[in-house]
Amino acid sequence: MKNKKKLRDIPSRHILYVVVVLCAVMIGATWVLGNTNPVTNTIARAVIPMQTGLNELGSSLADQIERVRTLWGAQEENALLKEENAVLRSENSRLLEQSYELERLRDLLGLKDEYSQYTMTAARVIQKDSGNWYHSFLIDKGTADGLQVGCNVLAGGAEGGLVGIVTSVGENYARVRAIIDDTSRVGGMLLSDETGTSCVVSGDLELMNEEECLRLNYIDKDVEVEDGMRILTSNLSSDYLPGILIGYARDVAVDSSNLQQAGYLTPAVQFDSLREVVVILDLKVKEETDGE
Amino acid sequence: MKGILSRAVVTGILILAAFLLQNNIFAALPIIRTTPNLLLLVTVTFGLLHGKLTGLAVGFFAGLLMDMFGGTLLGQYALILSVLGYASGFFTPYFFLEYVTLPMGVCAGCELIYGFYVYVIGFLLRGRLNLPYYFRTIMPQETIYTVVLLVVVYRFLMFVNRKLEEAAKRRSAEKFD
Repeated sequence: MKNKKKLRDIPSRHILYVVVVLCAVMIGATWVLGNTNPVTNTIARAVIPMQTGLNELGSSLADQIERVRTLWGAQEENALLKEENAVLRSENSRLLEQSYELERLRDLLGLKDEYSQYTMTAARVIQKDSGNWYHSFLIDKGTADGLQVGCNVLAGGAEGGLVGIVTSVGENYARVRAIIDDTSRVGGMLLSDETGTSCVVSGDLELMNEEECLRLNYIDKDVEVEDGMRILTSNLSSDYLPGILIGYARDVAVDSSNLQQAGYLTPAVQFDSLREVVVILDLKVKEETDGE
Repeated sequence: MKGILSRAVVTGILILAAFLLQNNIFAALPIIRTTPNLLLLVTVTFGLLHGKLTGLAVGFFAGLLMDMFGGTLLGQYALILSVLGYASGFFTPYFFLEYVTLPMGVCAGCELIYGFYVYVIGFLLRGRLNLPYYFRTIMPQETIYTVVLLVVVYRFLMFVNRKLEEAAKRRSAEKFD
């Protein structure tokens, strides 16, 4: 009888140690196995529908606030827009000319319009990341719809472009890491010359918060990069399909190493107002995943 | 035993509600660039109210929920939140609902430790060395939002508490009429 202790007799710090060790074991286990398991999937089945519903509430709330806010500044904005309209009109004629050139260059690079050669599915964003450190979100499609880790995610429409990549997937949800996340690296190329000069686009939390842009590195020193030049995903990238618009180059100059150029990239996608995305079901490295 | 069970269920629902509110309502509003850390708020509150072990348990499950739908590794948020919940339990003897400064202080402290933890495991280890930047911007912003929310929540709790006490008094008064 002496050895039999009740739960409340155990010093609370021992329970703390047990929990800490348990967490450490889980971190170790998911480090090796990845963060998708039957338990998460079961809980997801209950939680994801709630998120979908609540997210609609949140979005409509945001819409209302946005509507009030836009009404406030409408007149001022109208005057600005009129001015902008005049500028745009002249620019439009110039761009029309350039679009022919663009078409020719695209053909040269073997890219197709609208990425139509891939099988795609649309998904809704149902949860932004908890906290302010990471840029990732959940979407309401999962393995049941054919998604898998490594699927590329785009935004459709006029402001279409690369959004990110699926990093973990459950039965009815998937987690997408946005290209503006601090840990994101994307191999890109310049849509400017026939060679398709390569570069690397990397997310940076500090830059994103301060100037809403990404870092653009490792550009060949001899290439001339103008502001507004389009950056696409590269053929050489291991995770991203080639020819997807990432964004536009800005302030590119020779960096401190004096060997390469570096600058900034303004993303093509408006991440703040992202509601729907398009997921490409084709993976870049098909042979490897089939071979498993 | 039944009391513990029903309390656990209510607490579980509260954690889930905080999680959904944080990720689906607050995060969806574009005017709020910084989202308050509601799960940390719930963890610290339970730690203060009910002691170390409750703080530990609430922190663990709240963190686990964050890990499942927001973390890269299962257990990284569970670890920090359970430790913080346990730590806030040390202040339970000094806690009264009427004095909001203590929970404010504890919450701010926990928030800073939490921010530092996320910075170290998520950023420092990848060579992002500009700690002053994160210390100047993201950490204080999140802390301020969370602490302001805490004050609002506590005002509400005090209001409910007062109403309940008044109702109880009235009932006992009626008994002697």
